[in-house]
Amino acid sequence: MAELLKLVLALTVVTALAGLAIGVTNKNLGGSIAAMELEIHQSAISSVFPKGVKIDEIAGSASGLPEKYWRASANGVIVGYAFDMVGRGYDAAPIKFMAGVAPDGRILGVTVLSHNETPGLGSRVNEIPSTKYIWYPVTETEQKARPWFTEQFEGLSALTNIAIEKSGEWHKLDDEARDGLRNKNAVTAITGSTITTAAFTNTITQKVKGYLDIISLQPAVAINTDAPGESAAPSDTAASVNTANSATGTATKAGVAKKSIGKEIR
Amino acid sequence: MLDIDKELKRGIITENPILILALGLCPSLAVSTSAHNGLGMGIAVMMVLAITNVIISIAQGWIPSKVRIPCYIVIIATFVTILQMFMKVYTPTLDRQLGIFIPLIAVNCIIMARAEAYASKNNPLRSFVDGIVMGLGFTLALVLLSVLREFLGNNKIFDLLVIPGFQPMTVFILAPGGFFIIAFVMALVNIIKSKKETKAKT
Repeated sequence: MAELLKLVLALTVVTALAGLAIGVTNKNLGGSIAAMELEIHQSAISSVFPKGVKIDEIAGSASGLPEKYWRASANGVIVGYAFDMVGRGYDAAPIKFMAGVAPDGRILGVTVLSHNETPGLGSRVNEIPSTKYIWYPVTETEQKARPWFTEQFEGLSALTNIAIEKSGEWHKLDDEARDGLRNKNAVTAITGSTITTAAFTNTITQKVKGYLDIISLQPAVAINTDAPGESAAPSDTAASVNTANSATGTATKAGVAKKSIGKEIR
Repeated sequence: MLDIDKELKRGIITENPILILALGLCPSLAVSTSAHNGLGMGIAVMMVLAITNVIISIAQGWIPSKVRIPCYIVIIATFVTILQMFMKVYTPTLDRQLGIFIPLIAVNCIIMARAEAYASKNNPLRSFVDGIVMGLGFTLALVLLSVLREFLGNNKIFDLLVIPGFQPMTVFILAPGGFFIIAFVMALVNIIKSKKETKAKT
């Protein structure tokens, strides 16, 4: 009995100490981790829009809309929307990414937030094309390159099907071949990772059109320009707002709440 | 006392965790697709190995031997969790690249094996040195494997292209290619070893 008690006591002490150690670490680092994740998300939002736009966070309460999405505007004109996307790739864990689209459905940018795809294959969604050879030291300062996989989505239409071509990867193609892909509304697959590629194309074509349709039917949320009164305006004042897509203006009492991120993106 | 040269030789060559002891093969197979990942994983394992070895060496006196395995597992898992929290804050890119393989360090058999075979029988200082040299051996072997795989599978080493016009073979990035590479490197090591042994005999 005493022997058994000793075993139990030892295990209890070890696990309690372990819990304490993790708890203390979490207390000290948990905030930083959350802040880091928020920062990654925020920079993803601004990365899918052109530079110099104003970004508002919008809570979409109409059915079929995500809980929140982001709207970019410049000089009172809506430039585009950004949506959180969740795709199913090769791994059980979903691929999370941010997609920016113009009101007409043109893709402005795609940025991967997190994924768990196979290292060396699907994980190449974030690969930055490398043209440097190991034999030559790199001296010139290169401009910050972007991952080629997501870059190839820019300019394609999210309203129709995005095709997948397996004829070589985008970063190895010349401008002519890239134009050909754009005309076909197609992207190139990552070699050996067609399922990962399809997770992006499928999710974008399945979700974005629906989102844009619903948004275009909604009374537009005021763009927070110089007029301070507008920020408090309820959603039925759609007519007073000069948005590109509020033309339909059917006053669905969708009650879109608005909250400015309050941060001008460079 | 401590012979650093001898210890280094033991960890890197004569008792190399991957190539000689054949421990921790599954994580090595999974992360050795690029040299960056291999190096990052190796260093992460080395840190966990050194810290847990010290803790286990200190705690071995009062942990009853009947429950030592669960205790070791708890200690190892705790430090892996803490390490991942630090990585999330200080090296977020590496953390996202290695993803699931960081928590899996907890079940890496090297760490358990060193705890059981070494740290529970030696003093904290020796255990710490053992953790460092074993981790170093693991890191070097992992980098060697991943450099070979990244070169053959992607024509790159540390994300830099190697031979112009070389057509990379995707199979080496996939798990089967990992087996091939590990097998060939191990065979090479064994050939060298047996040649040395026959020389020593004659």
